Amino acid sequence: MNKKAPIKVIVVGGGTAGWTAAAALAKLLPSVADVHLIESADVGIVGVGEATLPHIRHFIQRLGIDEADFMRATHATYKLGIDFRDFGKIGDSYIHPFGTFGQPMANVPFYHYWLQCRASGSNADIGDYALGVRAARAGRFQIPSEDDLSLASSYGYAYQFDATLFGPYMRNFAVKHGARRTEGRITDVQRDGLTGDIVSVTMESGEKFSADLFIDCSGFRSLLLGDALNEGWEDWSTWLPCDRAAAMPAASPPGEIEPYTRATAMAAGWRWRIPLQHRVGNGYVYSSAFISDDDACAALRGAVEGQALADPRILKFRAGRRRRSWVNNVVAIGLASGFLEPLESTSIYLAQMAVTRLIDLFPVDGIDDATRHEFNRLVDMEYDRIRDFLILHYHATIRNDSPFWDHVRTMQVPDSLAEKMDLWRQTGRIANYSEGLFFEPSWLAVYLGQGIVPKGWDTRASIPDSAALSKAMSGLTDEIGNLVSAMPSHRAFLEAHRERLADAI
Amino acid sequence: MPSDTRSALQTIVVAGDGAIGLAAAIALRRALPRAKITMVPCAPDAAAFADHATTSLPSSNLFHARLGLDEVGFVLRAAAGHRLATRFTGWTTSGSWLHAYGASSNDADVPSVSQALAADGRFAHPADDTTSPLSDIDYALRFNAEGYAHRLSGLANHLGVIREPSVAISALPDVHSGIASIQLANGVDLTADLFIDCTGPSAILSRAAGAVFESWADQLPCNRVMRTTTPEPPALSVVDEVTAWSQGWRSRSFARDGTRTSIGYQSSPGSDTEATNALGSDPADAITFTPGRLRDAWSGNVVAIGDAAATFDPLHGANMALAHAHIVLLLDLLPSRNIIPLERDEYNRRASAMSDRVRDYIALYHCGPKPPHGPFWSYASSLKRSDALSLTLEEYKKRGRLPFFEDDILPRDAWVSAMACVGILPGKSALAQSASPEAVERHTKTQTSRSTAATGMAPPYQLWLSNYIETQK
Repeated sequence: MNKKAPIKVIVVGGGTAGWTAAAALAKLLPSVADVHLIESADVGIVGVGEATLPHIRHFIQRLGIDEADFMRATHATYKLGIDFRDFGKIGDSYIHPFGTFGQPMANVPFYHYWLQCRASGSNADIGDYALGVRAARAGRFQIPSEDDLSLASSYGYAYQFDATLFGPYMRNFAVKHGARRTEGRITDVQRDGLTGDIVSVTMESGEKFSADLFIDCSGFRSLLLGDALNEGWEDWSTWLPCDRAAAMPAASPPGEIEPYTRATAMAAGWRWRIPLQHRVGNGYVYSSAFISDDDACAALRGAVEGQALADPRILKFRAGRRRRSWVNNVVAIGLASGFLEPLESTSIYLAQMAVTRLIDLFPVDGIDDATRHEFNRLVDMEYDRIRDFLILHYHATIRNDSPFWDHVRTMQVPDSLAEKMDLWRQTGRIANYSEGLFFEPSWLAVYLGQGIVPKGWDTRASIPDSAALSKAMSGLTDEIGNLVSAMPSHRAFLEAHRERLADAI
Repeated sequence: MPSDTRSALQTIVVAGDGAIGLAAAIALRRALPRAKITMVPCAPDAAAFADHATTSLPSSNLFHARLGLDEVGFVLRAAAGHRLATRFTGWTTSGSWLHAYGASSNDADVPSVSQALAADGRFAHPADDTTSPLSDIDYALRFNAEGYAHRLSGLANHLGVIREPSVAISALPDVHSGIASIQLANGVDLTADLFIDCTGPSAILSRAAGAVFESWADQLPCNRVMRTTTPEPPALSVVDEVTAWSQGWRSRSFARDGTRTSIGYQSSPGSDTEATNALGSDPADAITFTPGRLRDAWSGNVVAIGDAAATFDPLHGANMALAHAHIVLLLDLLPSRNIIPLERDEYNRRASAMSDRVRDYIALYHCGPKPPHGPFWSYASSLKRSDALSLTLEEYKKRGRLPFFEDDILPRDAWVSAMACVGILPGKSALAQSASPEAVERHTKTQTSRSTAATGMAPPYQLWLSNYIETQK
């Protein structure tokens, strides 16, 4: 076999996205990609993403990373979903779980029966029929069953971890698998006059590094794709007006650890609460058009439970994405490519998704338009769908207590979302897709959790007689209740698996 | 008309009592046991390929089970036999390729489990346990069309589907709802909340409701099919054959009740004579058709299923499988009495995606690098390719990747197998290129031992079949 020379890859930026990309390329394409990462100590890590999605498990498994080792290093806890509070209206609380609600009966999805029961006067919460929701509410955790047919497999989990530890963990992993690392600031970028490709980057020290492929993980600055190639920005701030976050860690309260993230709507945005092994991450994501930094910080201080461990730190961002993520020989991953606020913990997912696509499409035989186009098609689809799903959280509300909520409640949403919402409102159907993020149960959780009840639903839900149906429904809640009671508390589970703990908590 | 969103369909008329109309009526009756489901016969159309199918794809096995039609019933009463693979000959210079169902082999030089069994004339049902090599198997049934329809008809009657004796002759358009009623030969006018159009390519109801046909003639070359009058004697086999000849394809299906030959080609002066020669027997019928689909399979209160919705040459048995997938989609999006346009749009979006992907799968057969010689094939290679097909071909050639498409009723392995059939080799992805020689060798060894072990576990088909029939009696 004649071995080709490896493709020279330079990753610019040593944050979560950069080291994730370097780690995956070094581990999965050892003889194909020669990975070199350039990072600068001057550029801080944004590190907002502390809560994740279940996909991260597949990603770390694929790299051969041991879960216990990973959790220990990042002070991770388990996450069963997000508790959204005060979104649809003040006083509401619903959990968007990683998992399903009930089980289909006679090939009709469960929620149609729930809607039928509701119309007949039942006031049971849809979350009562989701094991993930019930376990979260009870503060319990257990690894889901692998038997697909079992109710005990009807939920998933992710992690809540310290993002400032995740990047270094991936760095160690990447370096162990052969990625090179250079520290320093890039002061100049050289482009090929004919093709426009980036040929090399020059360091402050005068050193020059060249590569075949450049991965721009430089964060919002978008050093290569934005600055050097001048790729345009598609702005989504009309729909997602939050552009800042004030972040402040607090001490863990004694007792149980919530196996979920909290998102509580505030006057000009929302506040996260992410319990880790040693502390609780808190932050207020807000729109600077509706509240000042000082007021936001004050609101955060006032709302945070437990002792603050630092002063609030302000991060700035904007919702949107570069028109194309892959241009010439530059692929942008993470914030350099686009940003969607952390309401559904999608930041790390988006970086991992882009890395996975890049590996699938890795240009062993040279970069061509078709490859770039396919990468951009796949990445755009993910961004667009997540964008719509996030907008739903703001738009599906009756809150009229602040100018911020008045704006998001009354704004005109993208057509792609308006169509989905109309379909749901009129028919109780959820627009189907099976690739990407957020399928039927996720849309269902938010629609119902935020008070959008459809006018119609599947008429087959009225076939069983109401006594038999309510018996089946209460049988299900009992069965779920039994499974939840058999689970240990989240803290007890962690303590029983001490290899996952950084040290005693 | 009632406008209550939550009131269930009360009356459904299914026009067309062929295999697809029967399947639709049974499925709807099972879903809505309180609704009145009426079936109306219509003049049989030889070009309704899905109705006249004597085989389908593996996905129809699940569909039949969902309707409550077990396999043994088809084996005992419709002479059903099992197909593991189809041998395609003439598409590549290397001769022939076993297009097998189930898991494909990851090493072109090692047969998959289904290929190994097919080559050896063996069969076993797929195992549930994924560690067993038999779990790699999948299969399709071929059956006697009359026996098949008879069995469905019996079930429809048993479930209480009402059978109109008189034939449907026309449909009365209604600007608001689609159609107002259909007229029967005996003068009766039938109204319903929902009409299912299984009348074949003439799509009598849908056209009355204003549905527009979109031709695929710019993408699929075949527009005429010729079949033998009387089947040749049966020859028990788990493999069917499709051969490329200068004017199209020639298929031989080894059913338990006889061997059937059919020819697909493009109509031109003299082509029938050539087809008759290629058939090697007297033609029973020669059917002309235009491949294509309705732009909207559901228009107004009429849902077209089968050849009324999409029609194309029966190269793979995908005709019936697509109709079954459309029925399942209709069940998923079953409307109330008050049909809501958005729900209909969602159905049409997804049904069209399914049809177009099947069309591309058929079109793949003239996308090989060395197509068979002859005017049909040079014409076929000049045809337009959809963007989705071009992307699929390009990505597969470049790096062995099959881009995901929503609502593709064909599994990934079916695409891999079809690519191999026409001589399109998968490119090597970066991941494959980084695999160590040891890992590649291990992979090949695993496949070899799986296929070898399966051959030891599966009996010869004749033995398997007689045991199966014996134990099921």
